[in-house]
Amino acid sequence: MRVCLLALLFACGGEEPLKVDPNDAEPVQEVGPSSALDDQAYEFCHRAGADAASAKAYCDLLKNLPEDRCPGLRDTCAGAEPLVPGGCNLETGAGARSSQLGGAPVAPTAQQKIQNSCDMPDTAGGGALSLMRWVMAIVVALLLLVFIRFIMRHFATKAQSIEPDAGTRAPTVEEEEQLPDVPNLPSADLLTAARTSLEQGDFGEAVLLARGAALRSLGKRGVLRIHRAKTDREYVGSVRKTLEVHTDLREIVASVEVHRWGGQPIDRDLAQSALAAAERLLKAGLMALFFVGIDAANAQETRHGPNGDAALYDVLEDWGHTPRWRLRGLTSLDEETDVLVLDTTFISLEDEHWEAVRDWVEAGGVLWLAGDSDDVFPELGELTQRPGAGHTQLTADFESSLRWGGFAQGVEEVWTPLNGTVWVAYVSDDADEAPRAVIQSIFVGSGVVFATSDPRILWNGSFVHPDNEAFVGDALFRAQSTLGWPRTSPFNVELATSSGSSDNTPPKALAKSHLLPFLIQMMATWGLVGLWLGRPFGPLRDPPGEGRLAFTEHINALATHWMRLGATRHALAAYAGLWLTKLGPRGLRMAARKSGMQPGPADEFVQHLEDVVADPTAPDDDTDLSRVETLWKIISGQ
Amino acid sequence: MTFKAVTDEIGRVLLGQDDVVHGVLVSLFCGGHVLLEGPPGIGKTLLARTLSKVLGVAFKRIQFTPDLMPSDVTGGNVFNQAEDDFVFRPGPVFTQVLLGDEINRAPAKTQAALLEAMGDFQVTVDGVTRRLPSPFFVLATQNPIESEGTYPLPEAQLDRFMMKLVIGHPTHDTEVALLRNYMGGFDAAKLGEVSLRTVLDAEGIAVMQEVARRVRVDEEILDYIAGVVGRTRMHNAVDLGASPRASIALLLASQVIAASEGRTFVVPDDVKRLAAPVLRHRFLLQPDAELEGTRADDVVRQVLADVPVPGGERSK
Repeated sequence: MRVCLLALLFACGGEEPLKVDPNDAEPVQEVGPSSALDDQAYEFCHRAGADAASAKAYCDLLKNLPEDRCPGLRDTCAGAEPLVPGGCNLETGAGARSSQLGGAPVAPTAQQKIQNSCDMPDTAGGGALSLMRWVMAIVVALLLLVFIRFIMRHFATKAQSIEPDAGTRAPTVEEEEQLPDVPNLPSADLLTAARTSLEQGDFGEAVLLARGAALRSLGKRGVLRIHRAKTDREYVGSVRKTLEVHTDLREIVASVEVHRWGGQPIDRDLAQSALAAAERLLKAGLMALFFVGIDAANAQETRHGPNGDAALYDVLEDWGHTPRWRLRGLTSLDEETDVLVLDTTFISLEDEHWEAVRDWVEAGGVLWLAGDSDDVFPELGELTQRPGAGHTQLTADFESSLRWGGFAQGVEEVWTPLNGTVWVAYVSDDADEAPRAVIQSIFVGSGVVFATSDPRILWNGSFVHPDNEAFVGDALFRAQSTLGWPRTSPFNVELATSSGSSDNTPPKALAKSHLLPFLIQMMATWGLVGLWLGRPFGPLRDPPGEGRLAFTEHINALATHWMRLGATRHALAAYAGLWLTKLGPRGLRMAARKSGMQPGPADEFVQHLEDVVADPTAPDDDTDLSRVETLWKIISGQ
Repeated sequence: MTFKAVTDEIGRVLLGQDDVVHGVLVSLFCGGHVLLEGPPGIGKTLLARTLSKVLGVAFKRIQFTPDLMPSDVTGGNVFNQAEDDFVFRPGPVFTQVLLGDEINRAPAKTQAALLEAMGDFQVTVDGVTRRLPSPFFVLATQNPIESEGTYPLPEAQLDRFMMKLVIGHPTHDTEVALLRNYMGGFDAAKLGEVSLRTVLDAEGIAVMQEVARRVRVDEEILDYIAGVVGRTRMHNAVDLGASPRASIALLLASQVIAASEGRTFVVPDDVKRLAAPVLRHRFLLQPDAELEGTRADDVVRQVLADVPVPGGERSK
């Protein structure tokens, strides 16, 4: 290899250009744009004392080079001491690599980089970075430890905390259980089975099934909660506030106890009495569900989710729309929002917000408004409280316009009274008249305002009834077809229906939506990960001026190295390709002209470079190195 | 009916402690003993004295002190010069209702003198075993606040108490009624002046005990009792769970409860109702659980909330 290298070098310095077959020559095969980033050639040419023993063999080459070339090698040949930082092993580091000049520049291996401190461009900076990383590692580890301890303590405390008695603690959904001693059938089927047992003379079985039917029905309605550790008497005690249910259930349980624990036969009368009690309970359940509603209906009125409007969200989604919470302020409504659901009982808007909403509606938006909005949309009319009735009433002027025409079947079918409460307002003072919804739909500019007087429609209390749920879909779908809302289905519906949304500032909205802790946690995690990866202390994307100059020197040294190898065409192709890629032909022409070259020669020069880049394997030319030098001068501005 | 009569009669003197009275009577009719825990001055001694008066049985009291000897409890042989022989002089344990006041103030060997009496209803002194009168009922008290100069009862001793009842301060209304009684001339120190009726005697107690034994207990109830007691042995806050003696006590107590309510069968509620007083003193909590504030009653509550109530699981 060394003989070959010397031959190449002498051939390079001789009169005849070296003929290098790019397919066979080792350097040409292995060099490439990536190897130009290696610092071997740079060290050889620019670092005094680098591989001094070998480098001195090439001192003769300096005679044919301009004086500004390879200052390091000149110093080496002049006997200068190594200028590399102290402590590095030149024989095993860069010096050892420079002995491979006969071969292609080879990137140092990772092991070499680690072992030879000479390869570290910035020892102090690297140490600081390493130290910082270790510090961050310790900080992150400590934080993780604290977090894990907190979690463990929290859940351990939870696990060991005292659970309240099953009979007194608040019911949870997770604890809902099935009755273990009855078939997994609906309560009505259980009651039917109880009747069959009664007819067959199996009175004990009848009362057991009647008990199962009654408990299952009450459990379904939310009157009581089935739990495996609850006794029948505890079930009875839990419904003592509801006299009818308490009496019937106690009667059933008494029969069951006599049969189950007393081991005594049940007579027909006792069994019939228990079944009758169970039937009453089931019938009462149906009544509660559809008409009067006792505890079960009361439970269904309970709003669930964030302020209850989670139900509205679900319903909208079920109807094929695309709902989302309005977390931004209402001043930035845009075309991406088809429908805005606004609950004025929760959202208190400033004048500027109302103006923005009205502007948005007039521009074609659809506003579903719940609650009072007279000030901004006087077209909707004025709501007044009817004395004594507890319902809202419209003034006579607007009464005629309040009949919602979208529902041909009549509003009373939609607004089924629930639990004795009519979820809408009466229009007429006549108590015999069926209740009608105070619903108003008006055109405002190009948009539509769909107003409901009672905001409770937006809560899930309005959706426990299937008809009311259907209203939500109809309200959007039928209105589109009837009134010709300029919207395509499905709608992008934004809900500004709770205090957790539509706040003026994002932090407030996030805080009220309970997202702020999550956001802070996420950002803290990002920060920690970033610190761990050393992002804030990592190298900059654009190296400083010194780095760019060093890089240029590096390229130049590499080209010189290739020159010695005789691969002048390849060196020119690589160097020219680099700058043609970076600047483009046009930019390079401009740079050439800027450096003092005439337009014609500049164009010719760049054209030649393009030809070289297009055919880098062509034979070397005497002008290759001079063109490299010229190009270097153009680029470096000399 | 008798149960209620006794309760009502005691309730005339001891106000606002119906649950404690109920527990004491259940233990009595089970043939068990009661450990009363509560601060001083809330009527523990009054309860014992009233109970003996209402039941028409003999009553004695032992004030346990650090220098109390076992022979002070059981009695001993003394030399009779006249007869030139040793004569057994029975100790206060030879009674029907024994109030062991502040039992934890006596050292362990004195406390242990009660072991045989409470467990086997007999006393052995100098190799001679003597039966105790029937019924024999120990009502021991201890103060949970003071720890200096006290000797905690050993587990074997605790296990011989059928129930540990916690007696607390009366409510405001109860205390007003109590004061009104004193204004009316009642004095706890002069209980004899109160016209308490004797509504039951020793034979009546034996009959009640026999009736309670006949109360029907379904197999599932037995399984439930075993499940509850067994779960205390698996609880993560318990170092040593309740013994089988606890299961027996729970069974007997459930029968008495059922009988006292006029039922001929036990329901799961009877077991749940008495689980805490029967079990709370029969298992050892782990030290870390105690440090975290877990109490025996909390464990019992968790166990009851965890063990499925027998619901008549059917094969089909």
